[in-house]
Amino acid sequence: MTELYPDILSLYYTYNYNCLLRTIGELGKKHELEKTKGHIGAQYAYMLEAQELIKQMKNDDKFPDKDAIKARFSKEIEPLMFPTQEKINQVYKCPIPKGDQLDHIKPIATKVTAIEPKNIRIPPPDAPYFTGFFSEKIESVRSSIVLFISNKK
Amino acid sequence: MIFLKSGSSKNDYKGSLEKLRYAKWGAQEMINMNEELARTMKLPFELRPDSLSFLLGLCEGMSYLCFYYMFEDGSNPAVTGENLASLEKEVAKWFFVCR
Repeated sequence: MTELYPDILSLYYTYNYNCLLRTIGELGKKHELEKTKGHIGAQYAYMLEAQELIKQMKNDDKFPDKDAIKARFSKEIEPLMFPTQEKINQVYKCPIPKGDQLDHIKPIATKVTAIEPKNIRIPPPDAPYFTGFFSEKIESVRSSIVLFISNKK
Repeated sequence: MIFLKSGSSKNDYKGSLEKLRYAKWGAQEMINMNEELARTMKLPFELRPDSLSFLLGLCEGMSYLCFYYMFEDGSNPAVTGENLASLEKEVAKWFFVCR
């Protein structure tokens, strides 16, 4: 498990960050279409969520993509934060939802279900390679029965 | 250590997803039998509830990762940015369980 731990941290932070970045982009598109609906407030709230994630990541153990994710945040989200906040304060004056009020990322509709594997221990009836195969135990049971029957006869 | 990477063919991901679904079934079966097994023997590290939850979380996370890799190229017009965000959230959720 310890060998897997850096990869697990990397996947957790990368996909969490990607999800927030994608949602920020989607809300940005919605805001361009409907300027008065307050999408920019939710967009800023997701930027704050991404900032919190980066803070949490700084305190976590080292993993391969840690510096890359930090650099991506500094380039992709951080420069947008101040101008967005200014736009909200001066122009749109819309509410900024709290973290627990954010519900723009819908739960996935199609879940991955488990499937029972086919029983590979039973050889297919037409497979010639298995016809002569018996385990040692089965062989001894079979010879005992054959001996028993022949004695009875 | 986790060799599942972006950029392979969709058939590769479908094959991996199928195997992960079998593995998930195995992990769930082990979790179901775990309590009964613990009554009869001292469980080794691999069969302890924490290890099995970790294994199940890993299978789930990697299953959704396969799903994500199948759709990330944008070739399916039915898959929107919101759908991909939901998938990314699901992947992150299961790897959070494994932390």
